[in-house]
Amino acid sequence: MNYKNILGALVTTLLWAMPSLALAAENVEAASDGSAKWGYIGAALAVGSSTIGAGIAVGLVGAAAMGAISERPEVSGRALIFLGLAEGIAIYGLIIAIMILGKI
Amino acid sequence: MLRAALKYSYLNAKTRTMHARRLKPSDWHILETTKDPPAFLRYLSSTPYAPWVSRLLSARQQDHEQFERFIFAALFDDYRKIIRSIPDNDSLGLVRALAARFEAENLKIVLRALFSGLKKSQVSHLLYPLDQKLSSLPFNSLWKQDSLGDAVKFLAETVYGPMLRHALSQVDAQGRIFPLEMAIDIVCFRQINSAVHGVRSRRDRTSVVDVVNSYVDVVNICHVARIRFVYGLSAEEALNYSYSGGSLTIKGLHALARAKNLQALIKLLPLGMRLAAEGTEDIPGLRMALEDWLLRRMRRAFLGYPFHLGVQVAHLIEKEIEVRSLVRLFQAKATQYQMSQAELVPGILLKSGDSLGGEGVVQAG
Amino acid sequence: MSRVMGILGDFKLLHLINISETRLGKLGYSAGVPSDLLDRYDNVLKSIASLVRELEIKGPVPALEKAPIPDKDIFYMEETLADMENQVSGCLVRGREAAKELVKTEELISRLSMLGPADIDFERLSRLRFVYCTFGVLPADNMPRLEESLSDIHHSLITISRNRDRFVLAAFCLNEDREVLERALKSAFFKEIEIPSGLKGTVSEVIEGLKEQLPALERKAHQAREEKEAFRERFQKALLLMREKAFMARLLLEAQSKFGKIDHTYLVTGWLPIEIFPRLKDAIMKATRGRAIVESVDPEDVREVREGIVKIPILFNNPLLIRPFEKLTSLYGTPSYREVEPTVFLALSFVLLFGMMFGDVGHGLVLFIAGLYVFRRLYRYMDYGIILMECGVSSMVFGVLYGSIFGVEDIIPAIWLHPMKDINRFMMFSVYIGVGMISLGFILNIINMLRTRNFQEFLSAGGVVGALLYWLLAGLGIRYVMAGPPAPVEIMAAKVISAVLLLVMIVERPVRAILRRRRERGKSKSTRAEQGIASMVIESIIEALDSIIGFLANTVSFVRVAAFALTHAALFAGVFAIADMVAQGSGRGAGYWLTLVAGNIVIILLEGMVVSIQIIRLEYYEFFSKFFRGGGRPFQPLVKQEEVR
Repeated sequence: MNYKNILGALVTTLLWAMPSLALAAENVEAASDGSAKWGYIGAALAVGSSTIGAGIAVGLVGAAAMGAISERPEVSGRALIFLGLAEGIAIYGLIIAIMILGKI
Repeated sequence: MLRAALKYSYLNAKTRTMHARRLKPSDWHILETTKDPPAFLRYLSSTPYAPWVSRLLSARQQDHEQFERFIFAALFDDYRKIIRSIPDNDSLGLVRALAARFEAENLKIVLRALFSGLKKSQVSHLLYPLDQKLSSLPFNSLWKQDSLGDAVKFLAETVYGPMLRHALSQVDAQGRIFPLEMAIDIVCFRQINSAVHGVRSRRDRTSVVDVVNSYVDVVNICHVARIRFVYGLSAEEALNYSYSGGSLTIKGLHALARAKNLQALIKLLPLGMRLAAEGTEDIPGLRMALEDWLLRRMRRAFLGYPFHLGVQVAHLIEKEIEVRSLVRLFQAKATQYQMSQAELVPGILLKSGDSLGGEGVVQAG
Repeated sequence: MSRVMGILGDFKLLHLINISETRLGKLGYSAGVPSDLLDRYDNVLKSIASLVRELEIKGPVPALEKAPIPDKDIFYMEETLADMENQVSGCLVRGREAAKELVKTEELISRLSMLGPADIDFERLSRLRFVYCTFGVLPADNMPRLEESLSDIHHSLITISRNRDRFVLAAFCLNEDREVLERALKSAFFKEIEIPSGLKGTVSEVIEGLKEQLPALERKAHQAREEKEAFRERFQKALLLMREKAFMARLLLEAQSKFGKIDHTYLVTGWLPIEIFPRLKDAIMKATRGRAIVESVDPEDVREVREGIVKIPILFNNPLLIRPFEKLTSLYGTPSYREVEPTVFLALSFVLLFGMMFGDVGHGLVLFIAGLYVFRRLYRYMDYGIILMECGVSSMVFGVLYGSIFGVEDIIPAIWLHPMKDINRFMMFSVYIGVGMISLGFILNIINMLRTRNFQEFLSAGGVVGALLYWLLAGLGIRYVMAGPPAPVEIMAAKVISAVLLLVMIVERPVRAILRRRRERGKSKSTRAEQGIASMVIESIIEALDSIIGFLANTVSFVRVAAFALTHAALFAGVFAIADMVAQGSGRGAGYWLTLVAGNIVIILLEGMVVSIQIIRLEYYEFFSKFFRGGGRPFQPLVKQEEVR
């Protein structure tokens, strides 16, 4: 169903946005010259877009996993592994954001 | 592509998992060599059909009439699962139109019973077990009608209503219920045709048109052949009773109807079907050959781009052919009728190692 | 016997026990249904039905003052019916014939008028020698196939008229091809228009002639109708009353199948509320002139009830204000006889929580007025009206406490607090309410266990031990919030006590199993496969952990009460902000007030729905799940008002 995918995407986005928000709050006082603001924007973009991508991916993979598992529960192990792969995409964005914020 | 993926991700995965549960060629070989119905059922309990076989056994019904009912419940289960998660209304209409063929069969049985004065209890074991999701005809109230005329009046609001009314006068004139049965089938396939062309997304529509047209063509050809050579009616009647839809034109169907015998008819078929049906001598053989051809086309729907409606429809038709073959095999065993496997089960189901199908996408374990 | 049946029907509060469920029934002493009497009633009902149909009697269903006596009333009914049927039959036959004539003529006119546009001359048609012609109606969809199927012969299909899905056709072909045309037409479901032979003139002339015959026929039909009306006037009331009596008598006869019978003595068994028993005893004694024995038996003394074969049915007995909530309780399950009836608690907590989450004087007033309207006018939804009114009152009370009228917070002072300003205090308060409700759930569970004497769960996580642990942890938590971190002594005491309690929880099931096995070692071996001790221990550990997490989750779940109260206040702020934006444009005129009113309506509907659903969820998952086991049987009295049909 369509809205389940969108819901999955939203939830994943929120979940992954929170740690980066926390990190960013800590680093606010660090630098004060102009280039810092681009760093912040870069970090935000990295996390934001990667979580959107992860959300879509998890939505799709999750829906397909639900379909397969509901028919045949033995498939659940492999299906969850695929789900983990999809979720990992968000981590890539988070790593970049952390690296950026660490340098500012 | 993303939108289609979002729509069909769940349904696609589910359908492919269902598809992977078909009987394997080894299953078919073993089923053929079983000695008698109990052994057949015992082996069937070890295949994915186990739940329905156990239901059949616990109901203590082992004659072949009941077997058909119980095994078709497996097919309706698939229908229900697909109907539950279909994303669009027009796609839902198509799947329900396909399920309506069984509703039409039930309707024919009920009307036949009313016509010959049989009671519900004598006939209810022949009806397909449809439920509210698959069929919305008010069968309970239909049984309460006293005569055929009342029943047709009662059905006036349904999609069958107008045609039945027209056919009723023929029933009275000819004294047999044959025109009514033809009318029901014609309405059924007309619904399927309009549902197929009513699918809105273009990609869905092309895939579905492909699949459903092949199916309707096969049904139509067997139907025309049966009307001409088994019932012995004339060419014009065969043409008028043929179904709408499919890729054969009316002129093509007329040419088929005018054929003098089965061989002549086969020579007039389109190339693919002609090659498949070459050398068959009777109508059951023709039907088997055409089902074989149909199965190959259904399998094509599972290749390539996955997020379209054709996957679901192809699976449903494949499953139906499988179930029908099972029923034929069981009935041959139960009546101890000696027929070779080739006459009961489409050949492609028996071939192993076929890249077009075989073991399916998701394996066990 | 029948008189007793009549009395039982009058009382309307007897739940019959089917005799076959008890010992006597199994010995074969059940009364059959007197089938010949039933047949006679069936015949009577059929005759009444056909008379009602012919005379077209409609009208309100009359109420029966007294229940009928089945075997006496049947004679009277049969006689009167025979009499009525005699009188009415002649008139009915005449009416039917006149109507038939009229219909036939009208049908012929309509058939011929289908051919109207072609204006055929029938005489010319009858003189055709080489051509065969037929007229009829064809479904539009079949036209292409019909055309194609006739392509081998010379033919002509002329459309006389068409509408959306039918064609009126004239089909012509050579006489020698007649069979082909007929076969094609019949397989295309062509319905021929029958034209009687010997018609002269064109279509319009024939129609004119037929139309002239109509007035005379109509007069005849009218006469017959008037006679029928007269009969209807005479017989209407009597027939309707007789029908009700026949239905009721039949119902009573069928209920007899639940009785036991030995020769001429009948045994009637049923459940009855205790208060009604003396009256029933008096009435039956009077009716049977003392030849009956009426005994009341305490349910506990009946062996079947003790063993659980027959369940005591429950009849809700709540005051009017609480009655609407019985629906919510029944939705979760039917309480069994011995359990505490939870509807009172459900009602009180529902109303309290609703007020807390929806607190506003103005909105409460709106709900109250809406509830009053529903209660007065819409009889069927009376229950919902009462709920609305109660919730409205509660909102008004809490609105006064929060100091908010329609969202405006300055007009009256907040007697307690403003939700938006004291967020932390408010959240803690809702947690306290949560602790209270869950504790209540535990207490009710304990009471239930004592009442049903089912001590399996007594020492487990759901019973006394769980309750004690919960109170310990909750007490610690509240102490921490109110007065800072607890002293080391208290922490040590808490640790020790909770360890003891946890140990008891984990160990009680395995210990009981061991004791049971020791006891049964001397007796026959148990055939059931039993779990090993180790797996029981592990299961208990996990259950204990799960219940502790459950304590936390359930308690924190009540924070949603505060959350919804806050969203209520926040929605008001939003509505006012939008209204101010409108006011900036065009002043405090109509637009401003319109926005306010629309916003308030949206808030009431939205919040009302969401809040009720959340409260129901809280009740079911945090409250009911602690003690409500269900499994009861609802009380079904002998004659329900609506069943007499």
